[in-house]
Amino acid sequence: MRVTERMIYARALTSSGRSATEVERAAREAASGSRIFHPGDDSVASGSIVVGKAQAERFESISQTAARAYDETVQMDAALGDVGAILARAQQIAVQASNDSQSPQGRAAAAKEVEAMIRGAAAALNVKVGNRYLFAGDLDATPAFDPAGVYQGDTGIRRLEVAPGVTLDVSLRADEVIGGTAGGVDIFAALTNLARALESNDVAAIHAGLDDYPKAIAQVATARSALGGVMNVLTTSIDAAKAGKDAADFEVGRQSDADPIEAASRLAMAQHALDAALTVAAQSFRLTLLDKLK
Amino acid sequence: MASLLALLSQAANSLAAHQAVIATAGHNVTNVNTPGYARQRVDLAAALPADRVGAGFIGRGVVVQSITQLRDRFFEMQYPQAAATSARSDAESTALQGVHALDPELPGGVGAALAAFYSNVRAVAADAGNPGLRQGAVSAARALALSFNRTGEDLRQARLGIDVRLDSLAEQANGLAQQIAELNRQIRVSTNAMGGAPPNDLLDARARARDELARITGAVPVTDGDGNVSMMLASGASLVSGDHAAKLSTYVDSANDGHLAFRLQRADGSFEDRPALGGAIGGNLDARDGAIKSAQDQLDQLAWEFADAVNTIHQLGFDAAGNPGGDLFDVGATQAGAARRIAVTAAILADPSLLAPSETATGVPGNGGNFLALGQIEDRLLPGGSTPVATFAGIVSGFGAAAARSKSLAAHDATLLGNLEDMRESVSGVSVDEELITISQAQRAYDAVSKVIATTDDLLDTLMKLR
Repeated sequence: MRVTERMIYARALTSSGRSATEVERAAREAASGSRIFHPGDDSVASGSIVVGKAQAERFESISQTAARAYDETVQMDAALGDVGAILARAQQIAVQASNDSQSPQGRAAAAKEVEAMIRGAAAALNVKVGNRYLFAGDLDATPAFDPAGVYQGDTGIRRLEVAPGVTLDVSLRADEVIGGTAGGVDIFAALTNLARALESNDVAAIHAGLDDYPKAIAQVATARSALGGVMNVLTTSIDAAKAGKDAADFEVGRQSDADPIEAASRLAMAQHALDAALTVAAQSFRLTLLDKLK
Repeated sequence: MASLLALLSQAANSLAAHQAVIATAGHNVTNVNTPGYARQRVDLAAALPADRVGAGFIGRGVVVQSITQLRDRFFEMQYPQAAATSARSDAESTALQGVHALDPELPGGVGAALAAFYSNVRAVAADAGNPGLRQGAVSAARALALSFNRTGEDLRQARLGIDVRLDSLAEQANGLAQQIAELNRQIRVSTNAMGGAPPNDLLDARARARDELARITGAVPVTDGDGNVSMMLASGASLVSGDHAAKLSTYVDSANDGHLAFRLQRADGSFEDRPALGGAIGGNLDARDGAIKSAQDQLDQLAWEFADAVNTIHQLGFDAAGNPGGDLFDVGATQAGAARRIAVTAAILADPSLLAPSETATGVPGNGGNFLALGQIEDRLLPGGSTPVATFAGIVSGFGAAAARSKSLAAHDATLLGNLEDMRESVSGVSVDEELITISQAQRAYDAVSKVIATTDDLLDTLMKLR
């Protein structure tokens, strides 16, 4: 093949230009740690990165929401624990006061204690996280119970997404757990009745209420047990969401990150290729009859 | 037998012939870097008729028979088409590589904004009465709308940028078409004036203009019996026909979102809209009305369907005052341009308490059931058949595939063109070494002929001294 001047220079331009482009690309990858700068660099990976990042964000958000819900259930459980203790003490007082040996003065003093316990239970159940009263249902801007133990919330249940597409009820209906609207014991009513009976020294009434306390204690225990189940699910959900986020992040990284060793190796190779191209070009320019003719 | 004076005349002609060889080689050397230049060669031949002398003939020296260009017709025929094909794929690839609105790593891209929107919706669903979270959700909705706006606008700007490029290419094409028509005329006149000898430099100029016009428009050359080069588009319409050049102009195409379309106005005044243009113009049109438009349309569809899905659910909810929810997004009346228009409704932007996360009017403020449902849009298939994030990922992948395909095609076409250029250059290009040898060779001959003149002069001198 006949070789002309323009071919020599054009080839030098093309090969050195191509090598320089490779060097720039490899340097960019090595410096940034990324291998995708345009969807055309890897169209399939580009789509996967978009999906992967959205998945990571979703898992992160699920994890955070579930963690907040978990903290709230811990608070609710503690409140119910307090109510359970109050009920146990109320049962103790009721048993003692139902005994004929206790004096009317003793019962009156016990009535004061039970009244204080009612306020204590209401305070415990008005537990608040942020601006929300946890036992108030959807009406969570106002306290769940007034000081007398009258429920002021509603029947709303809070539901959260605990895994992609999976939701979980993460609150309890205080009207059922405390108010006994589902056929259970109205705890505040039982305590109020006890306080009144003690105050009026009505032994028969005290006696009549004795059956309520074990039921109420069991009712609270059942609610705590349910909360425990929710907490377990939330813990699992948090762990799973973190694992899901890690997996999504890993996948995004796998698709988008440049392998540093490979990038450095490619950079070195590209630099060698550029060096070779420039050397060959320089040699080609030197071989001309012009230098021989004097 | 040749006389001494005839010998002198013959030597003078020979000197002129070798001088022509040197001049042509010099012309070649000076044009070594001229694009489109084809080297020229002086064809020498023994002068005829020879003088008869007894039983033999004595020659009459050398004459320049012709000065020809070295061009291979096979390569010359292939080149314009190959240049047009390469220019088309290169133009498309360059245009697509210049669009970064859909880069997957772009901060604040639609994919990331969608994910952030869902996260904020999820947070409100968990604590609907929290004004901070409501504000966060409105901000996320606004960021999502802005991301749609920015991406849609970037794609539109990319198409508008191509329009500017197309205008400039049309002007270049018109200039080249006129140049070819004028060169056709000049070549015809020169050839006739020179008794059929080719006007090589005019031919070079025409070949250069022809290749450039092919590169810009995709028109292919057709040579007629008179030696005129006409440039024909794929549709059969001619950009150049003999001495006449048609004119390419652009007009605003209302059917294509106000982008430019081409009109070919022929010399006789008739015109053709949207002629089949290839080359760089075709490549730019491919990019503008192909991958970029497709991404823009799909983005509009996504914005439209997403806003509709969100608004439908949002309207089922109740705001902080217990009133039914309105639209969260304002996306206008038509799908076209939805991505650039989508915005959070002004009322909600001004008052986040108008967000409607509650399923019931009585569930205010803590009920977040409606936003839980809103968050489920993340998994819901839009009418297009995919979830919003998957739809956007599909747009990114589709655009990326088109960009990768065009890049690969451009590299392939450039390699083919490069090979063809090498082959053509191998025949037509100037080698300085060759020309130097030719000059040396001609110089030697010139020196020798000078000797003939000197010898003849001596002979004449001898004759003159005879008494």
